[in-house]
Amino acid sequence: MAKIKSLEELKKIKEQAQQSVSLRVKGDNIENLVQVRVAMATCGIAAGARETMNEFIKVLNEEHMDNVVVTQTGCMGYCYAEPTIELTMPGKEPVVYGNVDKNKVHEIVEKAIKGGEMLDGIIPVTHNTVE
Amino acid sequence: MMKELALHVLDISENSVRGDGKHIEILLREDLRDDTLVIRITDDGRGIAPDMLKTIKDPFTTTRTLRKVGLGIPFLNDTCLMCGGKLEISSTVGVGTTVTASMQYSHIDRPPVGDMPSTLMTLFSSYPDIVFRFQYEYRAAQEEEMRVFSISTEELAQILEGVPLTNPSVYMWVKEYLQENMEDLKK
Repeated sequence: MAKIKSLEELKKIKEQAQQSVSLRVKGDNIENLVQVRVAMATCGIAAGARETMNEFIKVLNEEHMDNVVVTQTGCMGYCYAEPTIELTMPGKEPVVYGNVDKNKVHEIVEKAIKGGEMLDGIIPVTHNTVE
Repeated sequence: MMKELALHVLDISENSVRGDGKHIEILLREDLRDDTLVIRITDDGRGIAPDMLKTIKDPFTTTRTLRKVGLGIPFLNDTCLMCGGKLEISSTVGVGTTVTASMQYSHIDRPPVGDMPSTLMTLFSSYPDIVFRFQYEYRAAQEEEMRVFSISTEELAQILEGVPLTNPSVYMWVKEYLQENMEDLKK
């Protein structure tokens, strides 16, 4: 049986992370960050928003896409279309996508974030970020 | 309804976040000896006024402004009642709130605990300014002692020295750490 992780090991992980972070900070500025906000209210959670958020983090980690920030937001009012996410590309207006399951996460990362395309599933509203 | 108890934990903890809690404690106790499962979420947020507290299990009570229903607490309340338990909420304005959900462990309708590490990481990484403490307690049917595993974001922050939990390799590591330690407690 493999030994279970202890917090001691986290120090090493931190040091490795620090090295890659310091390289990144130099070349980056905050306006170039892509923001993904996952709606995480009761409706979103019941529909799978936690898995959506996890999948974003997993995919972005695998693709080494350090310029994307994944965070959460409250209910945006589109409970029928949960899980919903709000995607903000640098310098652009936020776009809300509905019914974002794991497959849609991959499509959003590949086509919308990497390719800058607009995809099916956009909730067409004059949308203002909540809180 | 929520498929996992871990999703209820996420949902109820979000209430604590929105209630301006700066310290949020999450307890999960699986006690096979007493045949109970307890989830307790305690915060030091702004608290709930007595009037609101009276009707809080009613879906038509909500602080939302977008619409008139709030289902987080009613969902958990239903799950508890369905599983031979109850939901207790105590709160003092300006001091904080404690939500305690109890269920019969072996009840046929009790949802599985589910993916607690995902729930915890969602909370830990989204709210770096809030101190979360998680305690997991487990007691097997023939055991006297309660086994305990606990972790706080404060102790993680001390080790991480400014590297955020949102850092992908840190995030993945901590999630696996939670997974392994929770599984290990049940062995």
